[in-house]
Amino acid sequence: MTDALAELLAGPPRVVTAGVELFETTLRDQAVDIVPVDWRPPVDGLSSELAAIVADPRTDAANRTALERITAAEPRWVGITTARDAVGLDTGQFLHAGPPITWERASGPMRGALIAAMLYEGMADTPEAAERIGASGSLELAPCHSRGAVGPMAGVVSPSMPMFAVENAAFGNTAYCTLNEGLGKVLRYGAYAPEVIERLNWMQAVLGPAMDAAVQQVGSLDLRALIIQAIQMGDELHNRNRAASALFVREVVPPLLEAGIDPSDLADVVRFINGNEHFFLNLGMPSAKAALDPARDIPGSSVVVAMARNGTDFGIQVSGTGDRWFTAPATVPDGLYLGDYGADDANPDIGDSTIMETGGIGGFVMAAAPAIVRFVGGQAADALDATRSMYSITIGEHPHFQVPILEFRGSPVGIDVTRVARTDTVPAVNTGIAGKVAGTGQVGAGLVTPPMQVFTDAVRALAESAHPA
Amino acid sequence: MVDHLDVRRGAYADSVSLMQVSRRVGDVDGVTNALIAMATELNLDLLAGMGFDQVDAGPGDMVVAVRAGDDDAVTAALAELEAALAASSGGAASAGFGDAPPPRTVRDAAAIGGDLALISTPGEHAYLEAVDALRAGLHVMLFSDNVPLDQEIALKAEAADRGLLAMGPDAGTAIISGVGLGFANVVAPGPVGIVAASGTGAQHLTCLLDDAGVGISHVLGVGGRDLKAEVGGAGTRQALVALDADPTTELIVLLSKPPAEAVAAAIREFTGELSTPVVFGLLGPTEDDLSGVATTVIERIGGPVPTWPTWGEPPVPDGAGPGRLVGLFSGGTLCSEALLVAEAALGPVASNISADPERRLTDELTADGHVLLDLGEDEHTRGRPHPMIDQRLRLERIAAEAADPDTRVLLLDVVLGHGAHADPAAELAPAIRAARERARAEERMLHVIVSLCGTGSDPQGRDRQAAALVDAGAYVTVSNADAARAAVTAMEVPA
Amino acid sequence: MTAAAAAPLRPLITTPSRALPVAAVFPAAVYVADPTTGRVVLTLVTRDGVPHPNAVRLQTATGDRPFAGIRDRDRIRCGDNRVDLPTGSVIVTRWWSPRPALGRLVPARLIAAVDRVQAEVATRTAPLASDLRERFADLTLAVATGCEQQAVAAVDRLLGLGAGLTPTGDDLVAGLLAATTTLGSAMPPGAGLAVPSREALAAVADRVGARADVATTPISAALLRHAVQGEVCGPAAQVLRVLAGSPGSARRHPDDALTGLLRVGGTSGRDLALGLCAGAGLVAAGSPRTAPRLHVSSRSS
Repeated sequence: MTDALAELLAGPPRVVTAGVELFETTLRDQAVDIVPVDWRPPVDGLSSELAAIVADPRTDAANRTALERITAAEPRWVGITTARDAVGLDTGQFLHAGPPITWERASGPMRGALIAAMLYEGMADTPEAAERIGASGSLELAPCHSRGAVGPMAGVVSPSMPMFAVENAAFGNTAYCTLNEGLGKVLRYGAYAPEVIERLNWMQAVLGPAMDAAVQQVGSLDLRALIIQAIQMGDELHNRNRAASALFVREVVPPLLEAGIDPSDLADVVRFINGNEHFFLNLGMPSAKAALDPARDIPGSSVVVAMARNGTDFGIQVSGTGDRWFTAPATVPDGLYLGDYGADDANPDIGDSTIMETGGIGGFVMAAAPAIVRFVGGQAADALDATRSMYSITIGEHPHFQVPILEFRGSPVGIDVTRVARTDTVPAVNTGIAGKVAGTGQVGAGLVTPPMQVFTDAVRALAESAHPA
Repeated sequence: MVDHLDVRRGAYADSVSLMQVSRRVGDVDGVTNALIAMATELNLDLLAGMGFDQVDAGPGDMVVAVRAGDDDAVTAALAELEAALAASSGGAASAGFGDAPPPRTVRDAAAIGGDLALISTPGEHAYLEAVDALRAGLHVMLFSDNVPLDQEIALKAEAADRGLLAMGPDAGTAIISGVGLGFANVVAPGPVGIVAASGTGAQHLTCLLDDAGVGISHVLGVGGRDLKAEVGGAGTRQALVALDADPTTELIVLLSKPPAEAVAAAIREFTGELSTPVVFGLLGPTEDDLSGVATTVIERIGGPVPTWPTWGEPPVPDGAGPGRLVGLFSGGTLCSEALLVAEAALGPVASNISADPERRLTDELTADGHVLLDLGEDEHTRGRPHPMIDQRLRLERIAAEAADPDTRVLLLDVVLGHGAHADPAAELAPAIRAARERARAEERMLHVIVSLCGTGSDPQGRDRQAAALVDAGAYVTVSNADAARAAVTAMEVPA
Repeated sequence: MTAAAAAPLRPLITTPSRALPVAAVFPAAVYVADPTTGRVVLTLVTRDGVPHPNAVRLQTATGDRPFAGIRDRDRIRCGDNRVDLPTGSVIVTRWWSPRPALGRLVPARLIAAVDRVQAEVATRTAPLASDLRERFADLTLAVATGCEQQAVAAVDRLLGLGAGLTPTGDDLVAGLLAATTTLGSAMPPGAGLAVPSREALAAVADRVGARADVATTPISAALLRHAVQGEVCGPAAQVLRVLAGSPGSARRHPDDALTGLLRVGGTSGRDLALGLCAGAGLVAAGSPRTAPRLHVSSRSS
């Protein structure tokens, strides 16, 4: 005899109802408390596949393990290293955002970024020469995610670039990301004009060493604490990094001043960081990546460990299916455009920055950053709805990332592909929009609807490998 | 082309608002380009890129640049600009925070609160929601049918592991502390707890007991397959344990069709270890019918056994020679009980729930001789509303059977209570009247007997229902077995 | 409108409909009387009102004003499974029992539970006025010692004492009677109140039955008569279940049951709680306490 059985019979039950509305009505008529489910069938008629996953004796525990690992993360910025050292790139090798891509299938901004990287690495003297190298098929391309890294927008990483190293102190793993170049014409949006390359050179020669010197002064910087504060200050840390970047400046300037950097460089460095309100994005992303990587490869887990786009495809990776990518064509975000740019100028969705949503930040804490929702002409209430609807597709709540307006409820975290398919709800993602012509740069910002197919494909794959009950 | 360019010194709006404003202004007819932005370096570059003249402005100033086909379009654009700027500062259109979106799965609903989940989704989807409930610590009543057997076994195993109760699948009836779940009648609280593998069986028994003034503590439905060998009575055991520990329950009734022999033996042994006495209602050929079970229970509780109420005049054999008995039921157990009574007296009777495959009807559900049909049977209700809720099929069938000159007795059930049709007699009475009038016009006898499953407290009003049916010419009994016996008696051919 | 009704109302509600006078109207409750005796026989309460042992509890909330248009001395029709109000008919769709099912008691646990609940009441509420405290102590002592006459005299001095619809004196007595009735019958055979105490209680119950109509308000008199039968409002039933350690009574935190009771009325909840504790204390103290028997192992010999 269990307490639960005794409790059931101890008085009129409070009833959750799902299905036939008649039974909701009869219970209401009996003055019984009910909680009705707005139930609908899973997408694509996936019931038997979903049942196989749910019945797999490993799934429930595996997902709880995944959630525990993700939320236990303690990301700390520990230094700057070159991509060559950090992720083992050699000349001619490049990392890029999203799932694997070839030059032929690469979009304008992706090709533009690769051209910029080739010019920067000295592999070509002119954009045309670089383009020929690209078209020859001799470049070795790999997703950032395959090397423990993430990159915003095109996310192209070449061997000489300095990278933030972010260590997850709870698990000892490290994630890497390049340094943010600022707005306007920049490599990550596919620009390769001389000023782009010049800036990259300056970042390699001055900014990188200065930042490393600063962090070595303090040993390391607690990024989780910074993210927690920034959420409380109105950032969702994907499209809005104002508070986080300001907090970062506050943390980094004193050690910069103490690090013995050449005064003229110092002024440039501080002006550069201070003038870029997305500077923190490139620390937030590896923080999320570092938190999610320990949740990879848990047999039976249906938790998403990466969402990423390469400008052509949208892809996800799921804990229980290893390194396999589930991909579908990327769509153009719905948003507002800079100047007289319009949807026709926009490239399909691009970048690894959806690692933020994967880690329970970005669009998932939109309620903490209502300003963001106006990118699509919504209202503050829509921001609340966006966050609240994410609880239906996640395993749990983040104990540290709290949303003040929801009474400091933890952010929804641990996207479960089975919940996505059951509720026909895809993750809410905020993003910047790149111009589709290489070299254009950012043309807008908005919300993107991830393709359902990547989640249903993952469900099918998990079902195939599910253990019987 | 006309360019309009002005600078509004010290006017400020955030960049997102201005992007929206730009879009609205750009959408005005005749406008080809519009940029309304704070005069940051980036935006001044954009402006230059669009081919506008240079302006002298700083980041604290707002630039308005509009390019349009003619002056009228510029005027319209500037009007739109003012409206858009006014709208961007909140105002009447803001919707407020509202409620959280409704839960989309049982897990999310359980997070709001709940002791039990009543799941009635289509069977192929029910397992997911049921697992959600169990993993959130909720008991489950699975009304859904057509749930795969392996899922039923898995659910009941998981429920037992978690110390929870999984009722069903195909559990049509439950009552917990007076709360009717699914199809259930309004009964008084009292000492009798029921574990039922049969929904209408439980409804009928509770109604009979209520009539005798014997109250019900709880009815726990376990679903028709629970006592099959594959499931092994997993739900029944858990329900028995719960009722045994319940302080209100003084006597337990276990109601089921005759279970698999091994399961029956195991359950009998299991009940022997309980501290609460258990009465078995195994509805087989050699066992008591439901009215008999009710009598046993009432005697065990120590109450007086009543005469079950009837309304109208019982039909007497009319000596009209042989004819057909036609039974059209909405309750499965009521049908099978009537089938046992009828076959004992009349010999073979065709039915869609016949245990004998020779006599079992499929598809058309028609036969030349006696026929008793469960119109609520799973096969029959797939994709159609249950006859307890929607009687159209039954009404058509009544008319068709009445047209057959051989039809002598029409036996019907009417189930009242929560979930059932709000006024079944209102539809049935005209059909009965029409059937009898047709028979009378053709100078033959057609008896109509109704087994009325309900209590005096049911929302449909049992007395009112009975009166309407009697008025149409039916004989109405509360005891289903008595109704079947009355039908058999009416069929008797005098020697 | 639909409602869940207390089972003792079945004779009134399942029989043919008749008109009954309204004794009092409040936003959350309407008290209905018997036309001949004038006794309150039925209480209509809103979903958020107090589910008295004679309540028809509507699904409708107070905020929706289900009792709009009803005035004192109006007549409303009850019977045929419904109650007709000016705002519409209330159909009874469910029956519930106001007498809590307690299961078999463990005397030692009852003592501990009484101490715990009593301490909780003391910390969360203001103490009784001294005259009430003394008179109630007199009653408790008289029952404990089996002094019938003193018990009857004490209850006479409590009935109707205090302000409001249910005066404090009544609530104390109601709590004590309900607790001794329900907990007393849940004690294991041979345990429970000693015979003199039981007789004193029977005398008190008789006295309450005889005097309630004249000694206190009609509403309170009705609740006292229910208490004699062991029938109480829902929150009081929950506290009785906690005291008895009934299966499932820890459904939520045990203190939640008390919180629910303390919300009833102005001080009614506290007064009922004190009465319940006193009654439970009598039942617990009355059980025989024998020294534990020593089991001598035979294995070593």
